[in-house]
Amino acid sequence: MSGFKTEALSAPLDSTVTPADPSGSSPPTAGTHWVDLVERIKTEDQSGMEELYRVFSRGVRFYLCRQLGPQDLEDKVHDTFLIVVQAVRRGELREPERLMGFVRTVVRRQVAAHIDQAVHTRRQQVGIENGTVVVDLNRNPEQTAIQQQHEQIAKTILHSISKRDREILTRFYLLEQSQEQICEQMSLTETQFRLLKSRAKARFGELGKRRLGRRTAVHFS
Amino acid sequence: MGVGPTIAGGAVMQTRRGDHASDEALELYATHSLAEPALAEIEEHLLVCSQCQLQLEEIDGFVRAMRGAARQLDQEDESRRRNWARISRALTFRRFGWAMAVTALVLGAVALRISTKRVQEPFALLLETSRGSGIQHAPAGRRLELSLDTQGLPPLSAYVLEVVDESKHIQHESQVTADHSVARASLPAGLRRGTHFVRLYSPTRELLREYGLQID
Repeated sequence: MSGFKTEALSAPLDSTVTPADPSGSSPPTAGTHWVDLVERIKTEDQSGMEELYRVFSRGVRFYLCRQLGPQDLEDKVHDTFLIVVQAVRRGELREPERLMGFVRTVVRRQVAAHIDQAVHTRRQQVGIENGTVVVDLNRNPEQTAIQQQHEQIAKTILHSISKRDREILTRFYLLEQSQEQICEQMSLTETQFRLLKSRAKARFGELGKRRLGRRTAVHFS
Repeated sequence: MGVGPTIAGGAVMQTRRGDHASDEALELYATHSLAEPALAEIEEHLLVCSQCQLQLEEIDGFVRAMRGAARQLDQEDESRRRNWARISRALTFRRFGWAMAVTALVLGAVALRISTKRVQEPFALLLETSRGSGIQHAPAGRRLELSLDTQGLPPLSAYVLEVVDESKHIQHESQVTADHSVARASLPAGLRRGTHFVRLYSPTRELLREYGLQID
C-alpha cells in the first residue's frame, strides 16, 4: 500500500456520468450505470468488483504508468482499486453517479503520494532540492531508440522552418508557454498558431511514416 | 479550451471526433496546459476510453520529440554563442599583438625581398690566359657572367663551354660564340664553393683552352 488515506470525497451535484464502453471504442452512454455499479460494490457483489476492474483497469494503469513509469505498476493499480472499493463500501462516495470523478481523484492522490515519498527518500539519500520530481520512466532500449528517432525527425522539422516559427514551437513545447502568451508576444492570431502546430504535426507524421515505416510511425489524423 | 461543452458536467465530450477528446484537448493535456474543470473532464474520459489513451500516447510521443529536439537545438545555439563570445574576447584582447605580428611579418618579407634582389645581381669576370693573369675568384651562389678570352683560338662559329669542379663533375655546359675574341656565357645559378675549371672545346670536342676559377 502506498500509505494513502481515504477521505470522504465530494463531487458536483449536477454531474451525470455515464459508464464507459469497456472496449474503449466509444465513450460512456448509459446514464445511471454508475449508480448500479456502486450499489453492487457496496453489497460486495463479485460481478460489481469485476466490472469496476474491467471498466477502469486499463485507464488507471495508463494514468499511473504515464505519471510514475512502469515500476511496480500492477501493485499500484491494485492499491488504487482497493482504495476505491473500500471507500465505496464505507459509504464515502456520496454521489455514486460521480464514480469516474472519484476514481480520478483516488488515482491523482496515489500519484502525488508516491512522488512525495520518492522525493523524501531521495532527499535523504542524495540531498536534492525541494520540489524536484523524481520519477523513473524506465524506458527500455527499444523505446529509447524510438524516442531518439522521433527527436531526429523533430529536429529535421525545426531546421526546415523559419527562425520565427521555430521560436513559436520552442516556446510552446519546450518552455510550455500558453497559446495566449505566445500569440500576444509574437503577434500571432490563434489560427496562425494552430496552423503552424498542425503543419508541424503533419510533417512529423509524414517523416515518421517514411523513416520508421511500420506501426511505430506516428499517425495524426 | 479545445474541449467541447460537456453534457450536464459528465464525461461525454463534444469533439470533432464524435464522442472522443479532440486532438487539441489531448495536446493541451499532454503539455500540462489544461486547468480545471477541463482537466477533470479529460482525465475522467481517459480513464474509460482506450481510443483516446492511444491517441494521447501518440501525442505524448510527438510532444516529447519536439521538446527534445528544441532543447538540443537551443543548446547547440547557446554553445555556438558562447564559443563566438570567447573568440571575440580573445581577439579584442590580443588585437594589438596580432597587429604587431602582422607588421613584423610584412617588414620581414620586404627585407627578404631586398636581400634576395641583391643576391641576384650577377658577378661578371673576365677569364684570360695571358701571362700574369692569376686565377679568378668569384662568390658562391651568385649569377656569373663569364667573358672568356678566345684570342689565339681557331675562329670557329661556336665553341662548347664546359665548367667542371675539382671532382671533374660537369657543373655547366653550353654553346657559346665569340665576338671580337671574347666568348660570353651566363651561369644563372652560379657555382658552389671550390676550384672549378672552365673549358672551351671545339664542336668536335677537342679541348682548346682551360681557365681556372676559384669560387669563394
